[in-house]
Amino acid sequence: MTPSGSPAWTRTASHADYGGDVNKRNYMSQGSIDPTTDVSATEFARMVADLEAVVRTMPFATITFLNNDTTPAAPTIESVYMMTGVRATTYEGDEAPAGLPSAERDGDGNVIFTFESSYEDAYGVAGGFSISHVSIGVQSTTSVVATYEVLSATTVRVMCWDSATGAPQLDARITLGVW
Amino acid sequence: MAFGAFAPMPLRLGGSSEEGWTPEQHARLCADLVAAKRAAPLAVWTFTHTGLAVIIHSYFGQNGIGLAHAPNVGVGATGVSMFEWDTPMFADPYGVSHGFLARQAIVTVHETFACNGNCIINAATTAVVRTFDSTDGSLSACKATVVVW
Repeated sequence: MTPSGSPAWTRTASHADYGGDVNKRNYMSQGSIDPTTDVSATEFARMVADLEAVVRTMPFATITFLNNDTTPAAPTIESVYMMTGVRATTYEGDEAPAGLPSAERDGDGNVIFTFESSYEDAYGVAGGFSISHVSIGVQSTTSVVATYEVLSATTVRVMCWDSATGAPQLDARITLGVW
Repeated sequence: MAFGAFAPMPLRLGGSSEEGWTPEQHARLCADLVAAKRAAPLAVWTFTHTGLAVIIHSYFGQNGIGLAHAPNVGVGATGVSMFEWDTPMFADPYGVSHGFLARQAIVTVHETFACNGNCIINAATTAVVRTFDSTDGSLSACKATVVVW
């Protein structure tokens, strides 16, 4: 059995893929008799319409990582919340476990993240992925800003700076959001 | 035996698109719901640090919408705002509660001058947000939006 539609990160699933139908109606036109045991067509329609809405805007991945500039090395990935899986323990960016994004250092305060061009959902259905939007936050006690540059459909550069001097910020901890 | 709602109970997959729920549709819903849950923010809120106080204007959280659900507020030095959950635990509408660990945050500042904001998650229960005048790096009281995962 193959799920209908495509995985969430393709942003293509509609309420119909989840079982919605604008003409959804109760079986034999019999409404809910007991709300503790019955699911009405209207309740179900609301659920699938709202899931469609949520899936449209949910980030594909949020990643918190620590740059390693003083002792130059690939960034340390501290946590990954991704539509295809969650990782709450650290790994080095150049030794990414299967299915998780890799990252390389490209100078002071400058790293490049690489994603796959396709991921599979829990049923083995593949869906293409390309970076459309990026959001960045810095975890710091000083005035550090971060910027990004989408290099390709699957790679994004993240840079961080001392806001007052414009110099690259060393060893910054950053959260990266990707849609 | 009377049946109510859009499919006979106990719920069985099948039937027409108008009166039933196919296995393929059910599977897609489950897969996408799990995907969305993995990436969903824990909470989003917007606040202003006035210099003397921190005021949360709006709060959307997995635990609820509205200020009653927002974390406790603490005021640090100018430009330093603290948000702490007494108990890092949310309960769903069915009373099922589970702890959470905040790990990630993004801050966006709402001002008309060059400024920026950062957030540090302490012990997974406190978000310390600092807002700065970007031109000299000094702390500056600002309005900002925080997204926490």
